[in-house]
Amino acid sequence: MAKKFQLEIIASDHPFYKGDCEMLVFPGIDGKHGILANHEAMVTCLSPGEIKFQVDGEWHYAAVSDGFVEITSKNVIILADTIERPEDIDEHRAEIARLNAEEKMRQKLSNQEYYQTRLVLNRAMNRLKVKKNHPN
Amino acid sequence: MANTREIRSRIKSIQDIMKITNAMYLISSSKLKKARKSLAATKPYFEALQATIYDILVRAPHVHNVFFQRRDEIAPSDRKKGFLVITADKGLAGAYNHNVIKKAEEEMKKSNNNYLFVVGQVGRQYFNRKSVKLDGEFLYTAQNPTLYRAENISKTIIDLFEQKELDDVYVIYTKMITPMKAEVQFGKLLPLERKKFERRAAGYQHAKFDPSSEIVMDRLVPNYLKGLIFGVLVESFSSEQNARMTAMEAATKSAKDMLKRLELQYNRARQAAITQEITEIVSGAKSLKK
Repeated sequence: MAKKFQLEIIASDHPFYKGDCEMLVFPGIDGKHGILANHEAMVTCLSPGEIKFQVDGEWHYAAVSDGFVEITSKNVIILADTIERPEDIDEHRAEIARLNAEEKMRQKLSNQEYYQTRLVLNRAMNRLKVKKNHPN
Repeated sequence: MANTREIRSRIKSIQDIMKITNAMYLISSSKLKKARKSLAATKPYFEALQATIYDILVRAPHVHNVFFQRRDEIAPSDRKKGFLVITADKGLAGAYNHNVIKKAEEEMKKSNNNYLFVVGQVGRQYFNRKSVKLDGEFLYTAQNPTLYRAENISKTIIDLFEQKELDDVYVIYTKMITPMKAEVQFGKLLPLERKKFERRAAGYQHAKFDPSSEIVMDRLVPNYLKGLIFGVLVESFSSEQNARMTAMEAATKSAKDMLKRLELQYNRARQAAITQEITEIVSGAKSLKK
């Protein structure tokens, strides 16, 4: 039995998960991070992507956007703007958001607009990816 | 004593106003329900965000980052202070707007270089009349806060802070402590301060920042500010609806009291008029008999 640690995931619009967890994998700034119990104290940021955590041998998946993570040896706190389970993702809406963002990227944009649109596109594609990988 | 017609017209006007206050009471109570729900959903995030940032700042090693620049070389009187003031879009909310504005003015007296960022129509118009330096482009409503709006606000503030147009940034908002009690809060947004002494006192080690503390802070601080401003907006919106609801409830109640008093006066005046008429008829008839 793997050692457990306390995991708390909170999105800006709802608390997402709180409880024991055996292993956590989240997308960081420069690639994925895997966390086990007794990890050294660390602070890092989330990138939009797929987060997964193992509870009692079962993996749970979700799509996250921006946020940050604080890790201590006993617990992990993830604060994210949005988190969605695959079953809560509206594929249709994400697809429309992706198309809109792609359309906008083709226009001549100011730097700021460009980065904003790219973020929107990232989020939409990430949602679609998570949904595709875990069709319920 | 006022005549019956005057009293009638007063009763009518009070009834009309009572209809309005009662309608506003109903509207704000249904809006409050929605605001409370979003507050309850956001509160865990807001609280965890503040606790986590505090913890991170306790464990942070020394960083060279723009968000930690205290700019001590600038004299206190020359510092450019920015205030993010959260007011409502409409009045008639009791002391809600007044309290926030009063606090803002109190803080502004302490310095000569004030820049205001006002959310909500009421505050913006008030400070416009007083010809205080306002950011004209900063037009945000206080209704139904969204994360997107919070992101825009925090971006504006961070940009100005990075360009050294602002040296200190504060936020003034209303926090709902209990449904019956709201309090104006005053807090510092930027620059952040490392809690060196608290760390030593708690005996913590420095945490590792991956890939480096500069890169992490560059992304973490905007994210933190966005979350914080979102929480502040949600909290304020909820207290606004609450303040309006109690104010309108009190107004409806005092209108009812007033109506009761006027009804009594009206009846008295009516009776007096009848009595007088009868006396006049009787005395008229008496004089005819003679």
